Amino acid sequence: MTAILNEPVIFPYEGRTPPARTTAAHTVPLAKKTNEQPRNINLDLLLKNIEQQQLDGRGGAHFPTITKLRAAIKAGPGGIAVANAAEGEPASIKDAALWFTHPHLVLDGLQIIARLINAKEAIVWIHSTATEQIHTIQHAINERNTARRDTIPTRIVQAPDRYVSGQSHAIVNALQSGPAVPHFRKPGERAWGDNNPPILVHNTETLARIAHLAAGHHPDHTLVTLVENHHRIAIDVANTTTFADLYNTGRTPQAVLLGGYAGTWVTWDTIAHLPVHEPTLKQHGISLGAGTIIPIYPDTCPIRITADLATWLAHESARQCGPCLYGTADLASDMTALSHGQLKKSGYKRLLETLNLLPGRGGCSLPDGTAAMITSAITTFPQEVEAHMRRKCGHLQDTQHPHRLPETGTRKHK
Amino acid sequence: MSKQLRINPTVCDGAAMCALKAPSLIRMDRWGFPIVNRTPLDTASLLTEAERAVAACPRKALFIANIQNKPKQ
Repeated sequence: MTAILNEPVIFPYEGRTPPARTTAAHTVPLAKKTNEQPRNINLDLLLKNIEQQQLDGRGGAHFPTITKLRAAIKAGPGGIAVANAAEGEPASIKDAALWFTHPHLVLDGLQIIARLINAKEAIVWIHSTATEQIHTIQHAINERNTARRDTIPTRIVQAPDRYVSGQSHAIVNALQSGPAVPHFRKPGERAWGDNNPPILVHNTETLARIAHLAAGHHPDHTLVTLVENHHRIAIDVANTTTFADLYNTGRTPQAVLLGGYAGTWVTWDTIAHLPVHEPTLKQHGISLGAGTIIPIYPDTCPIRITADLATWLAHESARQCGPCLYGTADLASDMTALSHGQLKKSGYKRLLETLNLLPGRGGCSLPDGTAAMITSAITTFPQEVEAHMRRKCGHLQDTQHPHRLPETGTRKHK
Repeated sequence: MSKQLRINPTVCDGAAMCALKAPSLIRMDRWGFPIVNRTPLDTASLLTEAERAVAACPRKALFIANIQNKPKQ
């Protein structure tokens, strides 16, 4: 059993600044064993291992990595391998943790993918505002150039500072000279278009796992971000660890929001005994998504938090599709009214109708995720919903000391 | 394998010509955008409605897709 992060990496509550004590970020020595250098790795064997270990993508969808890889290999040479470092999920810092502590591991993974698909170049796609990460990554690329470690050139491309910039179709769109918003592909069509060389996008953690696997380690850990009142903590969790194990010191949550702001609310009782392992959770109808775990404690109003999230998501709509633009705005408005105890019965009926009108009707999954998150809040907190309809929130302390999730609340939104 | 009427929501402007041409397959939501039914187009009349809707859309947002019947991953 081997983790990539041997200790938790603690970040401040908001922003992308590095944690204290990671000044010498490139701590993994570049001079590694010859057979672990990307240029020397047995690619056929690695491909078999990726399939056997059932490695899944760690960007949120947990799609089988081998399937994407085979499609890109089939599409022919001359494409682009992309490391998705645009970690737009506000609660998540697991990818930033990897870039600050193990940049060469991720870049090795990127080189390996580039070799596998015979790409002409490798790109690290990252939000323009993540300036410290950009410095760290550029420094690592410079080191690799000096050491002639890479056979396929790697460069950084900066992304607009929006949530949708991290969506894989938005990346493909931008690299094909379009805007960085999710483009539409017909059912069965590849993300890069059937007549183009492949553009294969992998999440940062997925690439780290691939490099780790190439060095002989089995992928039996998952990186998650725990969100606590004043910190975000990246932890590499063994597949057998349960949620209760993660919270065995300190308070027990009432419920958790799993998988990001467009994720799913689950009660603590449902999740406590389950392992932090996507395939097992999937059997229970739950997903880790982007690996964020946001607990809710009895002193915080879950309806107000859900309204904050709905407002944030509506702001982040790419605004390409009518149902998403209007639907997420209506959800934000009705959830905010509910959180203030001002939603009438007709409004609640409209809220439920909107939840049914969004899935499958946008160009990306933002509207689906928003609707699913709010639906799960209604299912997980029925008593709080009922109380708000009667204009009585039970969380009286909440109004005095409102706890805000990162990037939500009264902050001016970009 | 079945034929289905599908929409590219990123180019749809809500002109609603499609709902006029394919009333069995399309109804408009309260914001003025089409809800496109994914019923297999396995009768002549459904297929005709779908083809007319595709032709009528000023944004070319609609298309007829061949969809595998096995469950998508």
